[in-house]
Amino acid sequence: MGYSVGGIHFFPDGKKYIFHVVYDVDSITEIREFSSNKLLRTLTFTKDSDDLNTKLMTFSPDGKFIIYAGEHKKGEKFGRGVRIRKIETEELIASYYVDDMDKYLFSSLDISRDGNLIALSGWTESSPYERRCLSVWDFSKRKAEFEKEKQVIQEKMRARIKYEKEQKEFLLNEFENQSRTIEALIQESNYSKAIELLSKYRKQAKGYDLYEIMNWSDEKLKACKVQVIKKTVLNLCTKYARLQIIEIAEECGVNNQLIISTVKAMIKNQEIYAKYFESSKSVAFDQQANIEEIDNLMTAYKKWEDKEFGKK
Amino acid sequence: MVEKDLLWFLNGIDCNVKSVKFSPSGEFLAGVYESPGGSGYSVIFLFNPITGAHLKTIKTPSNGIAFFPSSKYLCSVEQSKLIIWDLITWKKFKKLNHKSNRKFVYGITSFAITPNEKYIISGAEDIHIWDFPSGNKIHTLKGFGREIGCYIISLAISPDSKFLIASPHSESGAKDKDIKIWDIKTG
Repeated sequence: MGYSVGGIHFFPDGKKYIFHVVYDVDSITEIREFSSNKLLRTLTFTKDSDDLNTKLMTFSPDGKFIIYAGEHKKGEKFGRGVRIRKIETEELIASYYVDDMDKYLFSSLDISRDGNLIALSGWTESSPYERRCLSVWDFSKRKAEFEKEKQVIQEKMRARIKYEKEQKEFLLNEFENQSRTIEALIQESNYSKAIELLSKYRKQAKGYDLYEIMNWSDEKLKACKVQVIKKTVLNLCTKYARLQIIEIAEECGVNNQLIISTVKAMIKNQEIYAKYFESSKSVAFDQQANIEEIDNLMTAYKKWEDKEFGKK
Repeated sequence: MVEKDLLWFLNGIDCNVKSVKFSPSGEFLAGVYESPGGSGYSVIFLFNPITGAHLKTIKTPSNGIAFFPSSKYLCSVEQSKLIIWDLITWKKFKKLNHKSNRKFVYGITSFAITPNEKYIISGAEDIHIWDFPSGNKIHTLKGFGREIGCYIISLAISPDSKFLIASPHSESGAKDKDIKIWDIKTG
């Protein structure tokens, strides 16, 4: 049972539709007129001895190609994979193989809206081994050869691949600049801006599998968030006697787990006087001690300030 | 050996990919991953279609997926539920429950979204037409094979969003290829 077994698709003009019915081994593909349901054509390639067990079938959005997965003749033997034919002439345009074994089962097949990419998923029944479960092919080149729009399609595809490459290189090259900007922001204690930049940067890096940058951003993000939490907690510890972690999270917009670890560390390092309760996930502050501590700090600072400025 | 035209691929150890779909915008390739052995644990992975980089994971049990034509939403199916995900906030946007009077054997077996995004159509042993974005059910279409094990395997919508074609699949082996056509608006 599958979703794509026996597909129905409309041609772009909406006047005809094509559909594929799978029986046990063989299958039928027909084109019918929509208004009258008259049979216009039966595609014959599935009767061919080279194409067996066609299970999945999809059609290009422009209505020109038929893409199907099954068992196809590969030299003397049969292989499992995808074939693409022109609907009009049933001419074979491309054959992509996934597996020689007959244990490979297809689950899903799709073509991108521009008709340039083809994806196939499946699995192997006997699977103690690592097996291909997802493949993506670039169909643009072969399509262009048959469409005689060679240059246009190929250029479009090449441009897209080039763009992705350039983006990756750009991100790598920019790393030094970006890291400098972010470090500067952290130095200035402008954490919110730094977090914003880091998140954006990390997201971009993720799109291109740049793990080094992702790891670096994660580390910096964590450091920034810890600073934000500390600032918030110090701010709140004199105002309230007891706070829940989710309330602190609401105030500073950081996830709970990091808040708990930070608060625990702060208590341990005696940055605040408080106690953390695991069961209720809340912190009880010793308000008076905190206020006194801050007062002490302020007096110390005042003294230092008077002394330093007095010197000048 | 480099395979011709192969852009990228994934190898899996003991894992199934049940469904793959490109987003109409060309931004994503979505795949439903399932751990084998019928544990039912599955997630939706979103990849960059050209580079194969993993972009996002939606943790939800799922049997099938489809993107909306505008690529703003993703629709996933779990048994008899349709879940619509907002691809900007990555949150659940709507949940539709396909209930049937008859004994439900397979859950939703096919679904489709009209090109104008006004209706969502889900097919199981009968067909439901839902209004979008309100999520109200506006029609229930019946009239398919009465035997148990007959369900809608494929749905297609005309490019003008007016008509629906559905084909049934019969487990009992009857070569039933009756294709039926409906007007979506009037049912």
